[in-house]
Amino acid sequence: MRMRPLPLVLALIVCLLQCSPQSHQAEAQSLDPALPGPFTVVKEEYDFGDTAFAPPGFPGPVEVRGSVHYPLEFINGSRPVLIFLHGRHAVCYTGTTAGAFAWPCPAGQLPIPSYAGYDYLANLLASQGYFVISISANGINAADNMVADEGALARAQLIQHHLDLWNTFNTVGGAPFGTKFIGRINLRRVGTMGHSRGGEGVVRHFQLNQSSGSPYGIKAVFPLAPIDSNREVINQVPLGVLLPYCDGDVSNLAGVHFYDDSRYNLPGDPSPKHTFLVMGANHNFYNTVWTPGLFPAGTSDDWTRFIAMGATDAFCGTVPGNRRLTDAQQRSTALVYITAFFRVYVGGETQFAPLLTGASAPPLSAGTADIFPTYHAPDIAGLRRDVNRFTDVANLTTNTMGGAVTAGGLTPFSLCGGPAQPVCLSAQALTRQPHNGGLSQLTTGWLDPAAFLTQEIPAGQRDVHGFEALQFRASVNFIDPRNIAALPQDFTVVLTDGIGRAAGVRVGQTSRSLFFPPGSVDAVPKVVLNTVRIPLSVFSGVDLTDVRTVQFRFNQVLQGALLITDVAFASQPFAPAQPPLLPSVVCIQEGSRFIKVNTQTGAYEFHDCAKGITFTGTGSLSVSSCKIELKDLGANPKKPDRSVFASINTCVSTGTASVQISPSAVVSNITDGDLASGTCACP
Amino acid sequence: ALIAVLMTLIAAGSGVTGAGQRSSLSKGEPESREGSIAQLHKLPGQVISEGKNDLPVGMLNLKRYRLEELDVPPSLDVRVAGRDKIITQAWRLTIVGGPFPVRDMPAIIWLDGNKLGVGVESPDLTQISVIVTDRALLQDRGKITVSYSEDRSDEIELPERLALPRR
Repeated sequence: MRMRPLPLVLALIVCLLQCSPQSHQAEAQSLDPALPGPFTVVKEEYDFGDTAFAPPGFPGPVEVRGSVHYPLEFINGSRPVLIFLHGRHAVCYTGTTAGAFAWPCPAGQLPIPSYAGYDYLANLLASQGYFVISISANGINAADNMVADEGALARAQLIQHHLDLWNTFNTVGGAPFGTKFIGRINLRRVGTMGHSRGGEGVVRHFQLNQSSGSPYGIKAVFPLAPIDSNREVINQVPLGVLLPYCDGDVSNLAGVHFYDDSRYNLPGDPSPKHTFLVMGANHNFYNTVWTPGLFPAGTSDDWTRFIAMGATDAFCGTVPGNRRLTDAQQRSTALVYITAFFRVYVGGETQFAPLLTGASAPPLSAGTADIFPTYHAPDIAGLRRDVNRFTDVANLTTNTMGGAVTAGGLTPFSLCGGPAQPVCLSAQALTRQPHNGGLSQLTTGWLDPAAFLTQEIPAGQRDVHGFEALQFRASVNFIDPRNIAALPQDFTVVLTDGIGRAAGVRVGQTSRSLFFPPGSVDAVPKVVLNTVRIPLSVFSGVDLTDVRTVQFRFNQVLQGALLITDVAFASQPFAPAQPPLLPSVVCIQEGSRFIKVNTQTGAYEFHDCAKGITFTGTGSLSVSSCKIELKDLGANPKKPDRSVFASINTCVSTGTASVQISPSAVVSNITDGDLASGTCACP
Repeated sequence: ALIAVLMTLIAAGSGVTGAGQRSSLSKGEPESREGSIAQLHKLPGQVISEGKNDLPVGMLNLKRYRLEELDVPPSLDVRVAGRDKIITQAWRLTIVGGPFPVRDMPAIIWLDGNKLGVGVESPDLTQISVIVTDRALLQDRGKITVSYSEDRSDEIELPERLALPRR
C-alpha cells in the first residue's frame, strides 16, 4: 500500500475517529497460564527460630522460617523450585496494631508473616507441579537501613541459606521434614521472585550464587515492584520486572533500571528480558498480608498513604471514576504474568511465551487488559536484530546497523534520559520519569503530518523474513503541549523493499502503548516506554527478504511528541517453531530404573535392574510444543492390564515416567532431570 | 629459612590479630578497629543541640531534630561511602516526628541540600537517625529536610534549622 501524506484536516478527523485505544489484534488467542493445574497442593511450614541465621556483616539476627507449597502427586518426582522473598514491611503486631519495629519481636507481639502473602500464587504454581518456597525476612527488614546496600546482600545470603537447607532436605533429609523430600526437587531448575526490597534481593542473589560457582541452577529472576538502590545488573538469566503504575511506595518504579541497564550490557547475552507495566496497580496489594482487609495489622494502600494528596488523583486515587484495580484484580495480574514467566523459563512451557512478549493479549483471568509487556529479545542472530538502539548521539545520523538515519519535520531531535544525558522531562520529578539516568531515548515531536524518521537498512541485514515482528519502545511525552491530554498518539510505520514496494501499518492497529500517561498528582503521570510490537505478517506486499528502510511517518495525528528507543526486529525467545531434534529413542532414567521410548513409534522398554524386571509395549504418542507424551493402558483401555505414562520435555531435556506393569503391581515413578545423562543399561 | 622469617614478620604486621580487629602495616600508624555504620548507630552520644518545636509538619509529622556527638572508640575503621575511613568523631542527627512508615523506599535526611544518608527508624517509629562522619556537612543554620525521593521533590522541611553550639 503506497502512503501519501494526509491533509491536515483529514489527519485530525482520522485521529478523532481512530485514536481511542484499540484492542490488541493478537496474533493468536493466548492460553491461560493461571488455570489451576491437576495436582493436589500441600502446604507445610518450617521454623528454625527468630535468630537462626546471621548474614555475614549484617547488624542483626534473622529468622529462618518459610512455607512450602508442593504437588502431592509428584512427591516421588524431581520438581522445579521457586523461591519467593517478601519486601520491607512492619515486622511485629499485636491485635490490629503494628508493633515495635525491632527483631525479634518483644514479648506479647507476634511476627508479621509477610512470607505468607504470596500463598495465592504459590498455591497455583504448586497445582501446576512446582515446589514453591516462600521465606521470611523480618530480621533483615528491622535492620537493613543500617547497611549501605539496604540489605540486598543479606537478602541474597538468606535465600542461599534456604537453598542450602533445601539441598539438605533433598539429599539426606532433616528436621522437620525427615526424609519426605529426598530426591523430590530439582535444584538445577530454580526460579526466584522478590517483592520490593526482596526484588533487589533476588537480583543480588543471582550474582551471589554465580560468584559461588552456581551451586544452584537459577533459571529465572522476577523482581516484583522492586527498588534498585544499588543499580546491580544481571545478565545471562531470563529477567521479568513487574511495574505497578500506581506504586505509592517505590513510586519511582526504580526496577525498570534492571531491564534498561541489562539490555546491551553483555554482547551475546542469550537471555530475554521483560517488564510488565500494570496500570492501576499499587505496591502492597500483591501481598495479601499487606492488604487492608486481608490481615489485621500493618496494612495499607500505599498510594493513598505515601503520596501527598494521592487520594485525589483521578487515575490512581479513590475519587469516583478512578482506574485503580481492586486487590483481587491486582493479584490476578500476578497469577497470570508471574506464573507465565516461571512456567516458560523454569518449566519450559513455551506456549505461554507470547504473553510475555506482548504477542498475545492478557487472558480474561488477568482481571484487566491494561497490562503492557515490554520485551527485549536475546542477543542471538535470528532472535533480535537492532535497527537503532539510540544509545549514542551518533545514532541520530547513523543507526546501530550502520545505515543512515534521516529525519524531516521533527523537533527536537536529540537524546535524553541516559547516563550523563539531560533529563527528558525538565522540571518534572524523577518519579514521573523512571527511566532517567539509565535509558537513552530519542525525544522528538512534530507539527506537520509530513514529518518522518527513516532508518536505512544496509546490505547484508535486509533479510528480516525470519523475524516475527518489528518493535520499538515508546511513550507519549505528557509535558509537550503538542500532545492533547488524555488522547493517545499514533503514527504509521512503513517498510520499503528493494524495488520500492512499501507497506504501512498504523501503530494503533496493533498496539495500545501510545496512550497519554494518566494521572495528575505527585508521581503521576509518568512516562514508561513500553514496547510497540508490529507483526511482520501485517506488512503485506513487501518483500521481507529485502527490506531497505524502516520509516516512521507521523501522519496520523496533526501534532505530537514522543520518546522512542530500541527499534529492532525481534522474535520470541526460543528457536522458532520446531523443538530441538531428539534422538529417535529417549531414555528416562533414575537410578537403576529406566524406560526407553521410541519417539517415532511409541514402542517402549522398561527396566528395573534391581528387581530384574523388563517390560515392553507400544503406546500412543502425543506431541505439543515442547512435550512428547506416551500413554499405554494395554490392548483394552477400558480394562487396563498396565499403566504406562511418560512425558518428555524437549526444550529443557527432562522427562518423567510412571510404570505399572500389571494392576496389582507397584507403580514405578521415574524422574530424569537431564535426558542426556545416564547409561540406560543395567550394570 | 630467611624467607620464612621474613614472611612471618610481614604476616605479623598485616594479619588479623583477633576477631573484629585488624592491625595496619608497621608504618607508625595507630592500630585500628573494624567498625560499621550500624555500630555507630548503637553508640551512646551527648546531645549538643536540639530543636524545641512540638507542632507536627507535613505528611511525616516532623517536629524537631536532635544532634548528638558520639562517644567513638579510638581509631575506629569504618567503611563510609565505599571507602574505609578511620573515624575519630561522629555525630547522630535524629529527626523526631512520625510515626515514620516502614516502607521499601528509605527516608533520606538532607542538610542544606546535602544528602546525609538513609534514616534508621527507632523501634517505636517516632524517630529516624543518620550518622554523620564528615564534620563539614554540619552547617550552622542548615536547613534540615526529609524526603523519599532522591530529587527531593517530596521533601518536608523541619521548622527549625540546625543550631550548632558555639565552639
